[in-house]
Amino acid sequence: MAVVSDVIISLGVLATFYGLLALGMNIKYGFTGLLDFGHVGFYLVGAYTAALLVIEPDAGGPDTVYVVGLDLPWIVAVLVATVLAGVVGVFVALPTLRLREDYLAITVLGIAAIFQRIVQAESWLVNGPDALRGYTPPLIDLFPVTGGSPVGAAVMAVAGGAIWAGSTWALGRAMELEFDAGTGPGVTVAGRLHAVVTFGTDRLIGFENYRGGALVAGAIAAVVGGVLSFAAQDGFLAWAVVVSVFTWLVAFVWLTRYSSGFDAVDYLTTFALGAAYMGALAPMFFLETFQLWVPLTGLAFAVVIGVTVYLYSNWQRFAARPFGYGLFTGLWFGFIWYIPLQILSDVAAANWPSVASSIFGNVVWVLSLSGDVPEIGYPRFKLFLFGTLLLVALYLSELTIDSPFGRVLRAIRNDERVVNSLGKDPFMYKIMSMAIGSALAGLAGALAAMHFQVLVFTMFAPRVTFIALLMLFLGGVGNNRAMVVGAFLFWAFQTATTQLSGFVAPGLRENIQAFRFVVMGVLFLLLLYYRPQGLMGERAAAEAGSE
Amino acid sequence: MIALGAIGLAMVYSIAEVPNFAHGDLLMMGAYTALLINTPGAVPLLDNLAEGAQEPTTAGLAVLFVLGTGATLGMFYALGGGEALRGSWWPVDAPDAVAVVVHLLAAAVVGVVSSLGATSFLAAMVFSGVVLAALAPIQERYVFRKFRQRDVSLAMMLVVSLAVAFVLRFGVQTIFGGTTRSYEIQSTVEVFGAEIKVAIVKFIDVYVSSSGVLVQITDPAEDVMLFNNLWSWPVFAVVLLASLAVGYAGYRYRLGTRAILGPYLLGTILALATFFAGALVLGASVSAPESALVDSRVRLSVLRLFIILLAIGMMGALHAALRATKLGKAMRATSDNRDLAQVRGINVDQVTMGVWVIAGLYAGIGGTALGFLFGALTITLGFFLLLPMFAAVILGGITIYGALLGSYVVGLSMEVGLFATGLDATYRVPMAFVVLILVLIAKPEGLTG
Repeated sequence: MAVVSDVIISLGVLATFYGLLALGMNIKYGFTGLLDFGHVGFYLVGAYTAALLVIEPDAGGPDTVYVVGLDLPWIVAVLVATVLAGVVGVFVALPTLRLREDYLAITVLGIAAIFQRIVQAESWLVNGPDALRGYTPPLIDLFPVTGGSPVGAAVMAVAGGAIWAGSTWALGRAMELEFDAGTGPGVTVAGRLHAVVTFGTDRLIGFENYRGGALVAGAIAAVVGGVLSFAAQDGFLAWAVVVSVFTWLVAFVWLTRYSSGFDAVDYLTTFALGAAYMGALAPMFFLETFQLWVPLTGLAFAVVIGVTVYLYSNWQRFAARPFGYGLFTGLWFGFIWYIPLQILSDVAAANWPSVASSIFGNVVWVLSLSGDVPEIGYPRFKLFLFGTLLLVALYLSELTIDSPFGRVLRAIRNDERVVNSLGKDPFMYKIMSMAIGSALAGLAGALAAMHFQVLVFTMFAPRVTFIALLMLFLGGVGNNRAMVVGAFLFWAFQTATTQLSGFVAPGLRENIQAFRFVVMGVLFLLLLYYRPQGLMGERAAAEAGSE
Repeated sequence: MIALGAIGLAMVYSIAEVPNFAHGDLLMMGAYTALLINTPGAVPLLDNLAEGAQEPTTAGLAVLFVLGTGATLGMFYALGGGEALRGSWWPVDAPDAVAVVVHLLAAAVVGVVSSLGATSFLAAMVFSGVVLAALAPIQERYVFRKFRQRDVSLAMMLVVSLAVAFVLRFGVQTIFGGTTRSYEIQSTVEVFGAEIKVAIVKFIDVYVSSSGVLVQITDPAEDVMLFNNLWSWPVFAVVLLASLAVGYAGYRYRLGTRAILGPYLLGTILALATFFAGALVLGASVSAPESALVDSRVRLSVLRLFIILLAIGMMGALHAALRATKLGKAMRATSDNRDLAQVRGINVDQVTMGVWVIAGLYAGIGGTALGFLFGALTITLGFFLLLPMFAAVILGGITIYGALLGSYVVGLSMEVGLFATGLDATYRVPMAFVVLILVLIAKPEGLTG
């Protein structure tokens, strides 16, 4: 049995705090036009601050030395780390912001390098070149939780309720878009589903007010989930299945929106393309000799990519909807990996119970089924926690950007002199932009500290800035939501290649891991050349401007 | 040492208008390319063609020959396509056939040197230089020129070069893996029958005392005094004055003319030559004084001395090329004003390619030298050099000659700063940046403006 939902969960966790990092970068570069190559410096400040605040005081052991351990709760640590990173951002910005853009980039890169060197060299500060460890993430003692216990019930109530509310909101949004397109309530799939998942309250509250309806539905779901989970382990499991299936349904509803206008030919083509990309990897799985599979895989990929490019430039259907085609090819690729590939060997061996449990485990992503008992493990809780923080940060950034303040930032990016002539001092706004962006990086750093539980100075190499930039350009410059997409895409690529390198002889693994950065760099160059505004581009100016 | 890299970076920055973050990785690539010559046995793929770490088979040598020859021709080709192969970049007009033959001969010589001279330091340098000189223009041709044609902003160019840096760095890592490599350094070299230990440091002691200036060079390994000279103050003053006078005379002689040897350069060279000549002739041999006002000791090995001389020689060559060749003139013009140069009929694309050739050549040679100096090669080697290089270039105000000055300022400040503050050697790179930031805040246009 191969349950890979855990892989997706860890992907999600990484993507959430890198999404925050990219969000900070977006505030700086995407909206204000400050190219901050030293973004990683604030990430570092946040991570080490948070770690030092929660770690217990140094007991004087020989292996770990650090300056101070305050043993504070995580919530304080995260807040302080965020604020401190913002303050550091201001101090870095004060001397450097007056420089030309290329000088600015190099100077802040230098400052980030200095931060890294300080951590490395000053062994009294945070254990020098060795790792800083010995602190535990919040609430980890409670996990994993199962049904039939108060903790399990509480977790299921909170997490289940929140997921329910979020999904219901997404569903309501889809429904609203359908209304705009001219359908009535309760007619479409989305509408009917909405009626079910709001437990009928949508008629009481009114369809227009789907945001409030989502909250109510979430509250009801929280109560139901809590009670069921408290009652028995089976109730816990059953409710998790319901929640998981609901999220899948919402995902399908949204997918049908993106695939509007798709017919069987389109679905088949994208499926064939996705399968072809997966098939191109086959030599890697089955051939042992490295001299054999490297050229074969390369050749297969060249062929598939060639076919894709050919279709894009010569086939009307593809050329008309490149976005939909790309999305679905990627989805099919992921889907083939997520379900069929995991059951392949069991099907071949006709081991049907194992096939069933694999599918079940992958579908019910809310629970971890890799152990003996279905449970909610710490990674899932972390995803929930980080995801919530990311959404909050995203919401606040959107508010900031849509406010008059945000409009000034965009004006600075477009033309500083205009801002000046309108009587606003661009310098102050830039400083504030740096503060906000750096604070977000600090928050990301604090979460990273929580996630990795070990901090080494090499984790804060300039490479991180590059990754943040890549996410920025991947998603869309000046588009906050796209940062999340960019982060997920990046980590999906990373996870996929990590999975792949598992099939390679250990001696070559390092080379493969380096090679994926080469691929990433080349893709980045292509992206910069052909689509410098990013996959999603900046959110339509009309939409932002009309508010 | 920074200077060799900084020159290339400054040229690319000022002429090609690319603030090239990939330059450090170019140096790193140069250092790794030299491995092909120095220790072919340690290079993946090539190790199939080698018997030991430093014993390539005939097939391996053939591969090296082909690579060396091909890279040399590629380098000439990059200077200006087929035209360049027929000698269009030469300072003198020569018949096509002569130029082609000369180029082919040069390529063959490089190939022979790379294969027959395998494992030697010089051959590695030459090989890595030409390979990089052939590779660097490819970046320009397929990446940077494309983006320049799109008129992207400088910030975007930075991002692009960062991506290129990633491709280069991890490309090398893909081939070589993440482990640290090192050169096999011969510790002795036979020159005219005499063995010279190249890797062993010599001490150069300078004492300034009431009786005069004393310079001693000792070989600590064998405890032999190699050079011992004292100049009493009057003699020292005479030598100093004489050199200043000769230098000034040289300056006056050339004043107002623009040539390879301009007034400043000629003056300086003459002054230095007089100084050393006078010093050698007039010195007297004594033992070290008991009390000295100032004494300092410089540790220098033959290898280091050679690298320093090489760097000076290469700077001289670049200077000559910039002043004497048509291409050099075009480069200077493009650096001053790209659009104007284009209007005046200069093929700026071609010039830019030439710049990348030189940048690659210098990066290859510089990278190899660096690898020999450090002894160990790591993937991040280039990146940590990049920061001081950028500091040097910006300090110099993004001009080629400014970059030279900037390199020395940065290099000195790194060492002096470390010494003065008593910090760990880890802070060497940050030190360069502190200088850079201070200068940028005080004088944002750089030292030479």
